[in-house]
Parts: sequence; structure tokens; C-alpha cells
Amino acid sequence: MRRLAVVVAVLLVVSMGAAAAAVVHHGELRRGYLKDGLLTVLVIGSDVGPPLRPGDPLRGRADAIHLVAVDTRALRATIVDFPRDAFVGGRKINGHLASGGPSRLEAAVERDTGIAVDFWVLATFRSLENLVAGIGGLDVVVDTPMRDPFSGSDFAAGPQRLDGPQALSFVRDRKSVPGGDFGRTRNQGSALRFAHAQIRRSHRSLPELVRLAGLFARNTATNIPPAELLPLALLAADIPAANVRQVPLGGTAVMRRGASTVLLAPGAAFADIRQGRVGP
Amino acid sequence: MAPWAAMRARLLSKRAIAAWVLVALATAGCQYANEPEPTPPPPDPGNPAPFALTIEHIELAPMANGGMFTGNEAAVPRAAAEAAVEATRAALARYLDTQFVDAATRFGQAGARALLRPGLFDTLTPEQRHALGHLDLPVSGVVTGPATGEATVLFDGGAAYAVSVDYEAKLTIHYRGTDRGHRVVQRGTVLFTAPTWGVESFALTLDVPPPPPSPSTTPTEASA
Repeated sequence: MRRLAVVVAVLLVVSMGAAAAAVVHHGELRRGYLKDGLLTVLVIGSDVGPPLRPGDPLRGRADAIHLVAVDTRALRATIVDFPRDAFVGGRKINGHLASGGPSRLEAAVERDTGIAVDFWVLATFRSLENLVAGIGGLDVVVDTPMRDPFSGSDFAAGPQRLDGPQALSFVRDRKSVPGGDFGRTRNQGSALRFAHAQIRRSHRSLPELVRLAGLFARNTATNIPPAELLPLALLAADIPAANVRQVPLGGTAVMRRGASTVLLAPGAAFADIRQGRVGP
Repeated sequence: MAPWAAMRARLLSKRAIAAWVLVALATAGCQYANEPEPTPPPPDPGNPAPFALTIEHIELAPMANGGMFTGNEAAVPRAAAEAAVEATRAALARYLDTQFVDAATRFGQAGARALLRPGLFDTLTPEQRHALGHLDLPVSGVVTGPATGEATVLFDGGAAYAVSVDYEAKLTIHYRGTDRGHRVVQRGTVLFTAPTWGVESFALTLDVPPPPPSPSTTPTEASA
């Protein structure tokens, strides 16, 4: 009888073990542009777009410019934050969008960094609000108190969840953050990191990633082929948040042709990416 | 008056008879309707029916730009989305039948291979293959149960790009040499993607009670 009890107990354990967590397999990117295992995406925030600022978002000024580099094999990423006043491609970087659209901005970044950019993605004020609303708000950590009537920011320091308009003010405020535009640029990059961490944390199921791919497509302009949005979402969901490094670019502010510009001091940021050293 | 009265009486009598007949028929009909349906024959594990997979809910994830340039969101035609969901439902039902029902193929590789994108099966771990139903089991018969799912479809006005199906399929299996049925449940999500529409990603659990010990090691014999 004792042996019978042991056998039954073992069978129960085995049976319960079979009902454990789901076995997961995520598809892999197998695209031609990934021969070097490096995926690069230029993320652009335009200051034009209905309803707040009617016009063509692809011909606005780029108030947010971030280069995201992903090592698709090691699942690591680096986000490089460009100040909008950075002198890139022979002029202030934010003017390239207005003069020639996303491809001209992309070409300028490629020329000055030596990094080949695979895709660009562009969002507007309203589409950023929609994206944040679509993931149920954005969980951020505010470094220092922010209060700026122009952008609408009014945040105590610390972790908090922002709705769409609050997230917009978080990434627009340059008056009440240390470093002015440098601080704003850093907050924009942080918002990308926070969004990625939140997707990892709360939206990782396959149906959720399908929903997110639709949300992203509806609220951005991009040259990413539609069929590749979902594989990219799967890739993003597979990258641990701890494997994402943010590099806010510094530099020296100088007056050039009567305008305030920033001569970048990128350190090893661009060389690292060129040589495939991505992530923390 | 007497003949008229007699005729009237006769007519009344015929009407009365007709009424009685109608009442009797109606009563019989009601009784027939109230009778329990004939008990269907018990399912035959040796001749299982295919799964009748139904998609109970479709969530649309349109990709068309949501008013970023115009300020107005436009409705997106959903015909491509619905066609893609039906195609993936049929593919998933074929997989379930091949993987769990058909005597010649069940618990083998054929169902999973046909479901996945070409070449993917060979790269999977044993645990991943097990979750898909590739198991070495001494199964003698199967009775299919309910199979239901929900789909989320990524599409634009002209084409669909991906469909995820969150589903649960139940069946009862009979191990060789036993009479008792064992409940098997597969649940989780599979993701079909264009252009091949093979499954590229999945998150599945498969609950399968282990087969009974072979007769040579039954507890009774072991303890005897």
C-alpha cells in the first residue's frame, strides 16, 4: 500500500508538473539588413501635426531625435539622445526634417556618425499622446520636480504614471529641468526606455504585441515595412530592460550664424555602435 | 326540421370528431416534444470526430494611419482581416486534428510541422515540441471535446499581416490496455504571420496525464 501511495503521489506531481507555465517560442528576425546583427532606428518627434499644429508632420522641425541601436543576437540596445540644437550635417539637426523630410535627417545622422540607419519612425504631439494612452499610461521616474506652464508639466520627483497629455509635457519641458534642452532630450530618451520596460512588463503576450503593432502603425509615420512591425515588436519584447543603455549626448553650446547650436562631444558613443558594442 | 336537426347533429358530430382528432394530434405532438431526445450513442474513441474549432471573438488591430496627417481617423475595411482569421482558424483546426485526432498522425510531428513556418520545428527544444503535442504516448483512442478561441488581427485596408489566436482545445485520450479516459487540454496562443502564414511564435501549455505504468511494473504486481 505504501508503494501504491508513493506511485500515486509521483503521478500527481508529474501530472501537476505538466500543467506548468506556458512554453514560449518567439520568432526571430531573419531579415537581410541584419547580416551584421545590428538594427538601427532613428526615432523622430515632429513639432507639426494636427490638431495642435496643422501641417505636414514630415516637414516640421525635429524636436526629438534619438538613434536606437539593437544587437539582435545579444538582445542589447543603446539609445543615443541628440539635442535638437546639435550641429549635424552642416546645420542644426532639427532643421533637416523641415528642409528634406525624414530621409534627409537620416542621411545627415549617417554622415556625421558613420552609422548606417535602417529605419526611421516619426511621431507627433498627438500621436505620442495616443501611444501612451494605448499602453494604459506611461510609468516614469521623474528625477527632479518639474513645473512649467508652457509645456504643462507639474510633477513631483519620483515614480508615477503619466497619461497621454502628461507624457507629452514630460518630454516637452525644457524650462524646469536641469540642463535645459539637454535635460529635455535626456527625458525623451528616458521615456523611450520607460515605454520599453513597460511593454516588457505588461504587454508581452502575443495578442498584446499584435495590438501594440497596430497602435504603433496607426500613430507613427515610418519606412518600416508593415510586415516587419510585428517581428520588431517581438524583438523589443525579448530585450531585457537591464540590457538597454541610454547615452545622452553632451557638447558645447556656441552661437553659429546667429543661432544657438551645440557642438557634440559624443565620446565613444558612435564608435561603439559602429563596432557592434551595444548596450550597458 | 327533424332532417335539418339530424343533419346539424351529424355535422356537429363531425366537427366534434375533427376537433377531438386535432386535440389528440396536438397533445401527441406536445408529448413527443416533451419526450427526451434519443440519447446519442457514446462517442467512439476509435473513430473520433474532428475538432469543431470556433473563434468566438475577433479583435481588430488596424494599421492605417489614425489621423496623424489629417486629424481624422478613417474606418478601415475589414474584409482582409476577416478572411485572414478564417484562414488561420482552418489551419489551426487542421493542426488539432492531425496532432491529436487522426490515428495515423496523432502525437507525431506532422501536425506541428504543418502548423509552423517551414524549418522551425527542427529548431525547437524538446519542451517546445511537447507543448505542441509531439509526445511518445501509447494512445489507443481519442474523443474530441470543445475547442474555442479568440483572434487578434493586424491589418490595413488591403491586407492582413498577422493573426494571433488564443485558444483552448480539450480532448479525452485512452491509453492502450485501459478503459478509463484521460482529459488532455492544450491552451495558449499561436501567432500566424504573413507572408507564409506559418506559425512563427507560440506560447502553449499541454496538460497530459501520464500513461499508466506498464503491466510489468504495476503497483499491485510490484507490491505482491
